[in-house]
Amino acid sequence: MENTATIPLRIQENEFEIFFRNNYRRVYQLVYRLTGHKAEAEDLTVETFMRYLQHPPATEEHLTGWICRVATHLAFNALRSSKRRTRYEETAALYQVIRAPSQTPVEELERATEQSKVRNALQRMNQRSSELLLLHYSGFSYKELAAALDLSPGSIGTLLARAEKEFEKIYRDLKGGF
Amino acid sequence: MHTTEEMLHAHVDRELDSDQTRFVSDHLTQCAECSNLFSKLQERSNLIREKLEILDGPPEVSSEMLLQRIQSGNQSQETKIVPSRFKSVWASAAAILLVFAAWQFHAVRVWATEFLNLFRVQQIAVVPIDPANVRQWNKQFFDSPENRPRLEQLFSDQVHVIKQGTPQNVASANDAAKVAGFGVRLPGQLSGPMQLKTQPEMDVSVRIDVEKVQSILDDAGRNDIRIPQELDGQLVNFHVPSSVTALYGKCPDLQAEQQKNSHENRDDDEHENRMMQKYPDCKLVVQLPSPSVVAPPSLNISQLGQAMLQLAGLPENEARKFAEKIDWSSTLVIPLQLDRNMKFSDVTVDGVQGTLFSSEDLGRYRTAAYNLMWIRDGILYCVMGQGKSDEAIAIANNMQ
Repeated sequence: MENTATIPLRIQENEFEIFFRNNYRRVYQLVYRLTGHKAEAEDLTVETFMRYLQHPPATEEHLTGWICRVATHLAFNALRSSKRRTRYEETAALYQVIRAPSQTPVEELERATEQSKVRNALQRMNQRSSELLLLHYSGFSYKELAAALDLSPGSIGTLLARAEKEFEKIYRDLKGGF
Repeated sequence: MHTTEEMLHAHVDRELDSDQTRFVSDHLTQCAECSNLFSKLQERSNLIREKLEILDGPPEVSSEMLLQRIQSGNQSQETKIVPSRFKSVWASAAAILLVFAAWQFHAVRVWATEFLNLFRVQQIAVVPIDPANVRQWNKQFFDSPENRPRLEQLFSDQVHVIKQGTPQNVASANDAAKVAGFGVRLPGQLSGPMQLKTQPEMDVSVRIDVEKVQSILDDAGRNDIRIPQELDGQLVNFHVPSSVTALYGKCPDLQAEQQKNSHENRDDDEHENRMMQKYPDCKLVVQLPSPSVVAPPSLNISQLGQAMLQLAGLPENEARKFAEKIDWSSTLVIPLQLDRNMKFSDVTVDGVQGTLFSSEDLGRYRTAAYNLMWIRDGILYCVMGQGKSDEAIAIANNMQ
């Protein structure tokens, strides 16, 4: 099943390509923020767009919101799927910064440690709150968030405020303050 | 009249329409309370933005490659190979190198918890080493007036340790869990006074300088070991999460001992014996989430492992065979000197397989001691004490 991507008739191949090119960076960036891992983020990006081809949304409205939501879902699932993944995420973050030649090892480690703390906080939060933050801070407006997450537009502000407080509290508890 | 927090939040996010924006802006100039709240919300928003932005910087991704993978409808074999290379790699070899220098060669030191702090993993493998080789190693490196300072220099140049915080005494398992950030379990049946301590998490980075390492090896007469040139400049990082140690009975001050150990050039065996005699009823239960090691995928762990095993005293062909066979990505390799009746065996404890190290009672020189390690749900546990090893197993099976 998973091996064959049948392209629905209503989506012409080049249409899909356009959709892909317009959105892959955003999707990749989102899942990278959450997983901190290049290969993992690539896999999840591929999986996300395959999901679109195999099980497209009922409506073509808010496609970007839809695909971003699928991406964060898949990323959360992937993070949960393996116990070892909790470390995997951290070590991957370390590995990425190792490649930045401009930094000293200490700076690299400090940054990597900070990254792993932020990721840790995102993963410890209520998943919906975490998604909300990730999407909002990757540029989604309240209206787009409401569409992507199937929430009423009026509730976004309150939910977002709650999510931000939750993040701050978990992050502070992890670190002992900003 | 105040605005609502929700409106202020929306104002921070520039989500208000122009009428609302004007209203809120006007109100903020007149109301200190709302103005304070607004600043607070804005500050929080900026901080979160900043924190999330530091997660960025992924290496450039090839859209063509992704597209091709999507259109060919398969996840490609590459994805199966790549992640495993990126997974936390137990570059145990490099860890061994660290331990060689910092704490000398002690496979199972009863008191040196620092050793344990470096070495928690998914599974444990033991390489038996002839003690004669260890003595040889000490003679060539640590007892050599030429090589010892060079080794120390090498380590101070290339090994960086960052500790996040300081050790703390805590009152209960709950407090320990809060400080260390994971669920802490304690043995049920051990009674009496107990001290609980947490150790801060630690990151250790090692940059490999092949030329320097090789020249020290050569000068120590070990030019049979070649450090591959491709390891040069590679950075290996060890992340050791915060750990919790429970001490039962009268125990030494671990921190003071660790410091003494790392600063003094002493006979470790004798020191260990003295400590054991002084604190016969001390038992330690150490736990922490499995540490991880990150090495770039280009680092050939097995090559490094082979070099280290040779250093530890395995003949070249055996070292190579072992290094090739082992899954370095998840295994802690403990080179164990099999003298002084030190034994190791696999045991089933706490529902999983553990490794038990034990030494027998040798009269006045050495009492029986045990060190039992196991990993459950990603947490590595270690029980150490003196007496029959049955005790270790009973403790492990009573963790609550």
